[in-house]
Amino acid sequence: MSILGSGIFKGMAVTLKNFVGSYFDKERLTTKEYAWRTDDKLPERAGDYPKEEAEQLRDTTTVTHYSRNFPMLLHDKGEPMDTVRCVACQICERECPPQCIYIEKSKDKKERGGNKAQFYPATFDIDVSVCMSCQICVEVCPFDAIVMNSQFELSTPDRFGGLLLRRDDLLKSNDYYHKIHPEEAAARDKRIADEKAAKEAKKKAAEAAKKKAAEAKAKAEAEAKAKEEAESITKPAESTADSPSPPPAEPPVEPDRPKKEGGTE
Amino acid sequence: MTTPNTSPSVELDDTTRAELERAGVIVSKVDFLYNWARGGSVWPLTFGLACCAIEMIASATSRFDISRFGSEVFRPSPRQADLMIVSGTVTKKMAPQVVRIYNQMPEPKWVIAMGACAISGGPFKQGYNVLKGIDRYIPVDVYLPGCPPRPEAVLQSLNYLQEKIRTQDIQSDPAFTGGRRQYPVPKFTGTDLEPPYNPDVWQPPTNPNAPADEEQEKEATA
Amino acid sequence: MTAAAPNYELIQQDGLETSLLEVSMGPHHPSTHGVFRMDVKLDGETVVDLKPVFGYLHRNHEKLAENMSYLASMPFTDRLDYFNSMTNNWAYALAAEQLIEIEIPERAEYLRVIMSELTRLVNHVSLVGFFVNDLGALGTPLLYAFREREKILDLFEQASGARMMCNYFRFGGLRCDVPEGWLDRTREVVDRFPKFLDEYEKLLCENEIILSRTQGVGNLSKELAVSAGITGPMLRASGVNYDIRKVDRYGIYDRFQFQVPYSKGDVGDCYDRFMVRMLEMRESIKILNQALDGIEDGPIMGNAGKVFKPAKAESYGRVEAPKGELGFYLVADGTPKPYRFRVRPPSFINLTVLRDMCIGQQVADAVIILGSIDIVLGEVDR
Repeated sequence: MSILGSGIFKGMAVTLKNFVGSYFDKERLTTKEYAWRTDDKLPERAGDYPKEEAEQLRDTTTVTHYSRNFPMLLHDKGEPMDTVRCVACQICERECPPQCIYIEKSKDKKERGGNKAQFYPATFDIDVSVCMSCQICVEVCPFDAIVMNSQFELSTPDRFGGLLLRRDDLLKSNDYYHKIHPEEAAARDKRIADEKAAKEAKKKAAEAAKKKAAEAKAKAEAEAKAKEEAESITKPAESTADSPSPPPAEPPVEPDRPKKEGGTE
Repeated sequence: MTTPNTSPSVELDDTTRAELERAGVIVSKVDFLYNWARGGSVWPLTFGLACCAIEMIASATSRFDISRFGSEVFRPSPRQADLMIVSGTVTKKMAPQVVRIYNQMPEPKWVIAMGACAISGGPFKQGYNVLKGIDRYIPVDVYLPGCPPRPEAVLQSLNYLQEKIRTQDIQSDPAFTGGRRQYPVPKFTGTDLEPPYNPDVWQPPTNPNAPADEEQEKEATA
Repeated sequence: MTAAAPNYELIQQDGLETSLLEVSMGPHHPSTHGVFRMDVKLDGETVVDLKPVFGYLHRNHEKLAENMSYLASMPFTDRLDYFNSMTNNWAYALAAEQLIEIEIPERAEYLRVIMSELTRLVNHVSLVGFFVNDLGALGTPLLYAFREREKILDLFEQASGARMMCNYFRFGGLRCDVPEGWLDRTREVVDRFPKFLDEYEKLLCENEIILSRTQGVGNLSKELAVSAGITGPMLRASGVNYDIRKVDRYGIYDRFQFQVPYSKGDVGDCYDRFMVRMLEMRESIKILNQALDGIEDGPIMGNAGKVFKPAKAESYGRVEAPKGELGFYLVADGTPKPYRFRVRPPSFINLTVLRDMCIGQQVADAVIILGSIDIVLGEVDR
C-alpha cells in the first residue's frame, strides 16, 4: 500500500475486466434469456399449465435433466387411468414429511395392463402450497408410481383451488418422464425390468419345482391307486367307473393360479 | 383479485352513455398507457424473510437478471416500492410487521407470495409459531409455489403479474378507487395472533373433496 | 472484554444536557441478514448498549422433528442454514449413524467430503459478497460471488436434483450416485476457482476503504471467544487454532493434507474474520483436489435397512460447518421417532458476543460487525 488509492484502482481494473469479459467469456455466465411465453389466457390454476411437453427444459438457464420440483404420477402407454401404476397403498401419504398428499382408495379393483386387478387412487391430491420437494415419496414408493416433475411455471392467483394438483393434473406418461429425466428414467426402467425378470425366473423355478413335486406325488398316488385297484380287482367293480377320472395333479395347481397371472406383470 | 374488466359494466342511460363513450375512449387509452408504464417498472421491496429470499436475490443477479423486466430496483423503503415479494416463512411474531410494511406501501401495490411457507406455512405449517399463509391478513395477487422456487419461477411470477397489470381497469380497480389500502395489524399475544385472520381478505375454504359426493348424487339423479 | 454500560455517564458540555437515543434496527432492515432486530442505545453515533432480539423466524424445527420419523427430519435440516444444506445433512447423518451400527462405503465418504467443501466455497464466497454489501459496495462484489455460487449450485443440482435444498445425505451413505461425468465437471469448476479467488482478492483485500472500515472494528479477544463458545472462522480469526475437521477427523478428513488458517495476532477484528474466510476457500480447494483424485467407483449406500429404528441411546454428531460447529443431539427411545432432537447452531452461539463487540463502536460499524459474524436466521431461530 504505497500510494493511497492504488487498491481502489486495482479493484476498478478487475471490474472493467469483468465488464469487458462478460461479452466474450463464457465463464462469466452471461444472462440466458428466460421469459415466460404468455398465451392469450392466463392459467388460473397451477394444473392448467401445459402438461405433456418438456417445455421447461428449453430456453431456461438452469433447469437440467436432473432438476426436481413437484411429484407426478406415472402411467404407462395407453389411457392414463387404465395404466396408472399407483395402487393407492398410501405409503407416500404416510411418509410425506409435510403431509401434503391426500389419497382416497377406490372401492373397486381395476385390471391394468393385463395385470392382476388392483385398487387405484380414486382421489390423489398434492397440495403444492405445502410440498417441500424433498423426494421422499419417490424413495418410499414400492411401485415406481410417483416421480419428480421438473415443471416450475406454476404461478396462480387462486390460493385454494389453483394450488391443489388433482389426480388428473398429476398423471404423466412414462415417455414424458423419459424426456425430462432421461438418465434417471432409463435406470428406473432397467431396474424394474431386472426385478421383473428375477421375479419371473424365481417363479418359474418355483413352479417347476412344484410341478415336479406334483408329478412325483401323482405318480406315487397313481402307483398306490394301481396297487389298490389291483387289490380291489377281485372285489365287486363298483368303484372302477371313477378310478381313471380323478386327475391327481389338479389339487396342487389350484392355489397356484392367481400367482401365475401375477407373474405376467 | 379483480377479474379483468375492459369496459365499465354499469348500466347507463343514453345521454350519459354517449358522454361516457367519448370519455371512455380516453379512459381506455389512459388505461393502456398507465398499465404499460406500471407493468414495466414494478419496483420490489428488499424484503427477505427466509430461504426463498436467497433465490429472490439470485433472480436479481446477472444470470437471471430481473432487470430485463424492469424490476431491478429493489427499494429498501416500503414508501418507494410497488411490489412486496413475501419470500419465506412468516412467523406469528413477524406477521404484524409484514402487515405494517404492507400498509406503508403506496398505491398501486401488489403482493407475490413466494414459496410454500408464505402461501400456507408450507412444511412448517404444523408448527405452533408459523402463520399459515400471509393471505390471511393482506391480499395476495400471485401465489408462487415451490420450496424454494427457482429464480426462473420468480421471473415467471413477475411476468404473470405484469400480464395481470396490463388488464387492470383504473376505474374499478381497488388500487385507484379507495385510496391507500390499509388493513388492521394483528396483535401478537405471545401465543397466537389476534384476530386469527382478517375476514375482509380471507375466508376459510371449502373442502374440495367433500362436495364431490353431492355432485355425484346430482349426476346420479339427473 | 468491554464494559457494559447500564450507568453510562452522559457528556455534559457547557451546561447542555445530552440524552441517549434508542434505535430499533429491524426486523425489516436490509442489513440485518434476515429478520433480526437490534435495539441499539446511542450516544450520538456511538453504540452504548445493544440488545439483540430474535425469534422472528422460529419455525419449530426441533419440535417438528420430534413428531416425525428420523428420515423425515432430513429435508428439514436443509432449511436450518439455507446456504449450507449439505453440511447440515452431514451433521444430522453423523448423529443418527452413531445410534446404529452402520458402515459407510468409501465412495460415499469421498462424495460427502466433496459436497461439504463445495458448500464451504458457496458459503464463504457469498458471505464475503454480503459483507462487502454491508460496507456499502452495493452490487458488484455480491454479483461476482453469486456468479461463482451458481456454478457450484449447478453441480449440486445435477447430483441431487435441487439447487439449495439438496436433501442428499442418507443414514449410511447418499441418496443416489452422482451422474456420469459429474466428477469431471466438478474438477473444471474447482480448477477455475483459484483464478476467481485471485481476482476477488485483488478487488477487495487491498481496497483502502475496506481496510479502514474493517481494521480495528469489532475486536474479539481470544479469551472472550473461547469462554463464549465461539466456533468456526470467527474463533480462528481471534487466534485460536481449532477446527473440528482436525480435532474430530470425522468422515475421512484424516486422509487429506490441509492447513487451518487462523490469525496470529490477538486482535480478532472484522478484517481478520474476512481474511480467514478468504484463506479457508484456498484450503477447501486443496481438499477438493485431493478428494477428486482419490475417489473410486463403488457403492454409495451402506447396509442401512429401510426402517430406521434405533434402540434406546443418545448421540451427538458434529461437523465443521462453514459457520462453525454444527451439532445434532439425538435421544432415541426405541421408537421410529426421536425422543429429543436438539440442534447446536453455530450462528446462534456466535451471535451471543455481538453486544460485547459493538459497544463503543459507531452505529454504522454495528452493521459490519453483524455481517462479519455470518449469521443465518433460519439457524439462529430454528
